[in-house]
Amino acid sequence: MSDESVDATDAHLRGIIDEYMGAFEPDPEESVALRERIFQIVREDAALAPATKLTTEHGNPFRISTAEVRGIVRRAVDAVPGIRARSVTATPTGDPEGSAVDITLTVAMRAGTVFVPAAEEVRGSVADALTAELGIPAMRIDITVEDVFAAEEAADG
Amino acid sequence: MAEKPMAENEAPRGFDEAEVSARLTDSVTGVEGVTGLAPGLRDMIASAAARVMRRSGSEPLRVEVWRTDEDFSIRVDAHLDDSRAVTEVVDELFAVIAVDLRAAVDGPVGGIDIDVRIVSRSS
Repeated sequence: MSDESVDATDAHLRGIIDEYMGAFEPDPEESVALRERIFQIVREDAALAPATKLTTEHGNPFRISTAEVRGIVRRAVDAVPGIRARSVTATPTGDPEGSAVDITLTVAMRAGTVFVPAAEEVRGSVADALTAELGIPAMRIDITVEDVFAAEEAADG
Repeated sequence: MAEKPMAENEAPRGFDEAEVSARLTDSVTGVEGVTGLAPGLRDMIASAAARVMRRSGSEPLRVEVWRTDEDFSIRVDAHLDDSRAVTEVVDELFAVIAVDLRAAVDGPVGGIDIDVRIVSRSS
């Protein structure tokens, strides 16, 4: 899994907290506890928004919310008739690392859908969306069907 | 990523952090596809400190920039729209930041470490 639970090193984070706290001049006895409490809150907030590390074709590294990457893939899967995305995992790959992604999908398939052509359509849809929206190619797209649904369930959304 | 010195009370010659940050904030938010800045580490810490100390902690969001000797570190947390591919926007951010940082700093600019985080992308 490529998610980063925290964006920065603890040392960097503590450095900024020290700098910030310097402006308040709190009671020294309270200072350590305040720093630790702030540190914990920031760590917890950062953990709520994992990011995926990628690299542009010009070699510029960046991070993007993993939820955004999953959203791009999910919409591309759902655009294929008879297929609904379940889980989406995007793993940075390529050389340099993050210049491409491997996608692992689980999907639900409408009863009566022929899997092989549908899977190829999913691969094409996901690859096109990643290139157009993210600017990052998919090296590999693995699809596992984990459920089958009836047509009326699809109509329900 | 370079670490910011912990007790940096004096701005190095030719480097006004607030001024450079403001300039880079204008540059970054002017890139097509960038709809705004998201809270960065400093903003998250300010917000957390406000919660702990029950103070008001809101400040305008800005590009974070700090200097270690002649090297510069820039951190951008951005919201995007879906008008362009993400990598196109990122490449332009790197280009704009490099040019405008050199223009904003009076003196030599060594390495530039740019940390871009895309927080959201919406239609």
